[in-house]
Amino acid sequence: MSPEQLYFETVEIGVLIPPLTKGPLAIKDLVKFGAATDDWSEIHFDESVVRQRGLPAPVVHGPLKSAFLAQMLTTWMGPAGTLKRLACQYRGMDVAGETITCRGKVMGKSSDEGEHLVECEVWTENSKSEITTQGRAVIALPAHLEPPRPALDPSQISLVTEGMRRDLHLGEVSGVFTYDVDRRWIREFASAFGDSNPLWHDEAYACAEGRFGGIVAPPTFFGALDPVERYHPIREEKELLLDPWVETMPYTNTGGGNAFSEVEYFLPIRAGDTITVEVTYTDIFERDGRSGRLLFRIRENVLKNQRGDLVAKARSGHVRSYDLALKRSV
Amino acid sequence: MATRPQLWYEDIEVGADVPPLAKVPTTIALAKYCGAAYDFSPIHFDEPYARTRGQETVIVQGFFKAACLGQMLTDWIGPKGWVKKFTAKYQRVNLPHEPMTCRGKVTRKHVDGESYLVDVEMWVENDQGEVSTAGTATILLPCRET
Repeated sequence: MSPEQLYFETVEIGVLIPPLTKGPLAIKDLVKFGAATDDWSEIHFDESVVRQRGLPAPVVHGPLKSAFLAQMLTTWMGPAGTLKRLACQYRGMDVAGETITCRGKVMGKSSDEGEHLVECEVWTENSKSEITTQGRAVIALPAHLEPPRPALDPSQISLVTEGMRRDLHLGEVSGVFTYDVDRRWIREFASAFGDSNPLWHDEAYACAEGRFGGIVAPPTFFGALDPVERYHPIREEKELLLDPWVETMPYTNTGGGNAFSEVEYFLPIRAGDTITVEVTYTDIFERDGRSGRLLFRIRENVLKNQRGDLVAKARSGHVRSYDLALKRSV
Repeated sequence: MATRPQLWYEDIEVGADVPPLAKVPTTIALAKYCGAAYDFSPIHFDEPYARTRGQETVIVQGFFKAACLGQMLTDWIGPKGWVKKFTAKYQRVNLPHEPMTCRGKVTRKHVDGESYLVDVEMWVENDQGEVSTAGTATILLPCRET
């Protein structure tokens, strides 16, 4: 699928931009945006703080609404267009559960020194059609005279195939994922659980005092390098998802989560490493437990660095519990 | 430059306690962990969702508790120690704002070639002393004699 290109000549003043609808927005959307922008203000996710402040629900970040407007514009203008300017005013609050519609209108066109500019009014509306964000945007478009740049090959973006989704491929590598581990990531990881050890962030200290002569990651960092746990950066699901059948189980799922994790290190994970993770499912089995019938899936992740050296082997178990008395229609 | 004390193989006795580490996970900490591990399972930040899964409120990630156990170890062993092996079993949930304490005990000392190793049993308990997560670790330490 290659997105269509918009050309300067075909844009008319007064025309409406194809609208973009987002939502209903989940708290998850807000946490993801908070994570990406390092905005941990609790009004965006914590129900008890939200209630204390007398707000109806977690508040949608203003910049997230700007991002939606930018998405509407970039989708409309095509790959060879450029968003030159976007200025927004946040006029009204939107909260989780709301569906937001982005709209826009072409207000002016001009050509200057070979640049073809289109000026637009943009805004977001809530489900009551009230305007909650208002802004102005300037985009640059190619004219028909110029050839468009070639589009990126989308087949390069995803590692997951249909075949992998159908089966766990027991005993075989079911997915290979690569992660660039940098200082910022290690620092943010350690900061999440309040670990201020300078080995994780202070290069001079780690160099002088540390066993490995440089910044390394804390011992449980392997958990952040697991494609079975990580969300895909674009799709709203885990990076490596091999269990479509969980949706068609004939019994009611009553819970689940990680059962255990184990790791053995052969080398440290260092800041600057590119770590490749190979996932192999080794077992799937069931047994009866406190909360019903437990279904376990066991996997082994092999972590290697950019030189191909073995860094670590991790083993993890995931469990889902089912109530066998509660049949469900599928 | 910051400094932290170094633990040496000779200083360890089997049966000794690892200095405990107390934590009170906040909802911000859980959300930050979601961001750092890029795991956005809603049970860790979305209270209405957590209630539909039979929980009173959002729950602390198993890996968050493992990370706290890891911190207890690395705070203790000093900059030249290394956590070679680490295991954790997630047995019960912890809720945010509830105090939890990481504890550990040395179970074995052994030398493997040039490696001076210490085995540890460790766990996370709540204020009532109930264990929610239990694990083991093998630590590599420097030895003064070498």
